[in-house]
This record gives sequence, structure tokens and C-alpha cells, in this order.
Amino acid sequence: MSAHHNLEILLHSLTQNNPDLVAAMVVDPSGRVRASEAVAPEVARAAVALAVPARDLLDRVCAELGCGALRSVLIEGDLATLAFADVDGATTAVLVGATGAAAGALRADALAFVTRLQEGTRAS
Amino acid sequence: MDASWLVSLALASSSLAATTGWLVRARVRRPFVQRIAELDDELARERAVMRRRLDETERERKSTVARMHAALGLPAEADMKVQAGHRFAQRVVDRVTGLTDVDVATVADESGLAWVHEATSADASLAAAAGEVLRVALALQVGCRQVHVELADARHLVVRPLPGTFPRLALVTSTTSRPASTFALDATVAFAAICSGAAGSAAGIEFDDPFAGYYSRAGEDAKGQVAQNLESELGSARAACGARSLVVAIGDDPLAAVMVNGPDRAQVDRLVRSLRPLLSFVERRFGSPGRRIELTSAAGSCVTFAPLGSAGRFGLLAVGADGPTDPAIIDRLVGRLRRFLPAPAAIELSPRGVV
Repeated sequence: MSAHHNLEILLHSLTQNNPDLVAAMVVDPSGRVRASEAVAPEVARAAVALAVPARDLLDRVCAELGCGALRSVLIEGDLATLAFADVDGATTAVLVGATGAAAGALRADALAFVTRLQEGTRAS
Repeated sequence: MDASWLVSLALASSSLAATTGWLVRARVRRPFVQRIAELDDELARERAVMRRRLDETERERKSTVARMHAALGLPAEADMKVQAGHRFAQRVVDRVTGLTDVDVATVADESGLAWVHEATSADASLAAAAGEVLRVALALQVGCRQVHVELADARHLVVRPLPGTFPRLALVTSTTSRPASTFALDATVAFAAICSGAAGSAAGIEFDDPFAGYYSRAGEDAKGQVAQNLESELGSARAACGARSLVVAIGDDPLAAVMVNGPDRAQVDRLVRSLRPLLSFVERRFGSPGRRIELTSAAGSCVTFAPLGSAGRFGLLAVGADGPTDPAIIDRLVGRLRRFLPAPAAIELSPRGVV
């Protein structure tokens, strides 16, 4: 099974029957979407456009403030919540939460997804 | 001129010089002494004003804290300082992490974020589950003492809301093969109550049983042959399993029910609508199907929800008066009830009324 196929399966299992998620995607440092699952594609497109500059900024903030390597970031808004999680030091998993979704649940989903992805990569 | 005269003259001139110096110094010092005295008076006045202001501020602070305590339902003497930071959560978690049967324990708030260090992503999932339990308990408006989830892979999650905490916090433990010791959890929650100053706030309060007061009539919910068979089975099983009420639900609606002093129809709907998604939430985060979820109220009564079959549409709701219904009895009943239910493929095809 290819890494890309594995990634798509993991994303699908993450978003399937998960009312807390509007979109989930994995974006590499060049802004290319490696895989995505979205209930609302327009939200996904906007998230992709901002994922790379946001990741750059977050990396810089972590470095400047002595936080070490970026692990995860939560952005809570009035209407939705975003979770960023580091996959391999450069690639980012971006999860867009539905209105009313618990921030902790979104972050847990992002971290669990990254953990499974890393386990899959190690196994293959 | 003899020597004695010279000595007397020297003494006299030196005493004259000393007296003159003293007089000059006294004259020079006088305005300074006066000024110092004035400054002392001014300082005393300022000090008195500041003391009065301090007393007023202290009174205002005490009144604000008392109002906060009253709003949170805490006793007036509760110490709110322990709520600051993560030390309180860490102290609570430290109480259970040493226990041999506890795999992971954490304290989380309503948004599902852990208040203690997370070692793995499983900790984050555990915190998310605790947050969801707090949200569901608030939505159900029942005093929730504990929620216990048993997964098919023999993992047990026990979530205990911590009394007197704001934002609301819950302790969650994950164990294998059996739930965390009730005695240990009771002791930990009591410790948390002492830390948060809520100990004794519930003393003497008799909680109303939120799952009581309704008696169903035979055939009220049973529409169709399958439903009647289910109701008959539930009727014979109810006394044997010690439950007050048993309900088989399809989707969010009761299909057959035997209620003897159980929750009313609207509450059954709310319970099914809340417990089923809560179980799904935990299943998704822990990657294992759920076997049952038990919600124990502050009054001690317990609602158990167990999915019937893998299709996910049918579920059994059992209400016990004093603690959860025996899991083995629930498992046997679930097995018996499955025989009455149509195969998943048939469910998808058949209209609701026929079932």
C-alpha cells in the first residue's frame, strides 16, 4: 500500500461520521495538498491558502519564544476552530472544526491522526 | 598672672564657646525640627488615609469573592487560590496515577483540553472524552456523578466531574479489564472537593432522582409484532436484572419499553439522543466499538445504554435504582434481544412502521 493511499484512508476514517470536523487536510511546505477530506470544499481551499504562511509564522513563534519544535496549535474563533499539528517537521495536518465542536476534541483528533500517520510511515 | 588664673580663663572661654555653639545650633535646627514634625504629622495622616482605603478595598474584595462563591454554589470560606494554574489538576491526577490498575489519568475542562501534561496523543483523546462528558451532562441537566464507558477491547473509561470547579473540570481514568476502583475515585473526588473548597457544600442535600416518576402502559410504545415481542421480553427480564426500567430504542425513538418508576418519555428521548453520540464520540477517538455507557446521577440511579448489534440503530437503555445494572445481565439481555431484531440489511430496507 502506498504512503499516499494510506494517508487518504486515514483521513477518510478521521472524517467519516465525525460531526466535529468540516475539513481535514495534509499540506506540505510548498503548499501542495497531499490529501484532503472536506464537507465544505470552500473552507478547505481557504485553509490550504493560509496553511503555509500560518505554519511559517507558528514555527517562528515557537523558535523565538523557546517553545521547541511545533507540535500542535489551536485557533479558536467565534464560529469555528482550527487545529494544526506537525507531521514530520515540515508537513502540517490542518483540521477545521464545525461550529460548536470542542477545541480539545479537534486537537485530540489532529494528534491522533498524526500519530497514526507516523506509525503507518514507520511500518511501511 | 599665675597658672591657676590662666586655667580658669581657658575653662571660661571654652565653656563660653560651647554655650555659644549650642545656642547657634539650636537656632539653626529649630526650623528643621519643626519641618520634621510637620512631615511626621503629614505622614501619619497619609498612613491613616491609606489604611482606610486598604480596609475598603479588602472589604470590596471579600464581597466580590462571596458573590463569586454564591454564584458557583461554593461555601463562603472556599479558597479560590487553589483554582489557579494547573497545580490543582496535577495534585488530583497524582492521587490516581500511582494506582496499579490505572493506565492513564488526566483532568480536563469542558472544551476537552487537558490541564496536566500530556505524554501521548491518547492523553489528548482521554481529555477530549472528559470534555464531551461534561458537555453532555450539562445538556442533560442531571446531576452527573460518574460516566463509565466500556469498549470492546476491554478498556474502561471513567469520567468523574470534580465538584466546585470553575471552569468545570473532570477527572478521567483509562484502565484495562475493569474500571478504576470506585473507592479510589471517591477518595480522589473528595480530595479535589477539599482542594477547591467545595467539601461539605453538598452535605445534607438530598438529590432528587432524575430518572424516576414515570410508569409506562403496556403496548404504549410497542407498534408492530417485533416491538411487542421485545416488550414481552423486556417485561420478563426487568425483574431478573434488577432494573427499574428497560427501553429498546431505534434511532432516537423508543421502540418498546417497560417503565416502572423510570424516566419519562421526553427524558428517554434526551438520554438516547445524548448517550448514543457520546458513545460514538469515544469509539471514534479510541478506535474501538463501545459495549456500554453508564451515567450515574448524583442521587445514585444509573442509566446504562448498550448498542444492540453492529448496525448502530438499536440500543438498550436500562435504568437501575441503585448503581449500574450488572454488566453480565445486560450482556445476556442484549444477546437475547438481538434475536428479535431484523438483520441490518433488512432494517435499511424496511419502513419504520413495519418494524
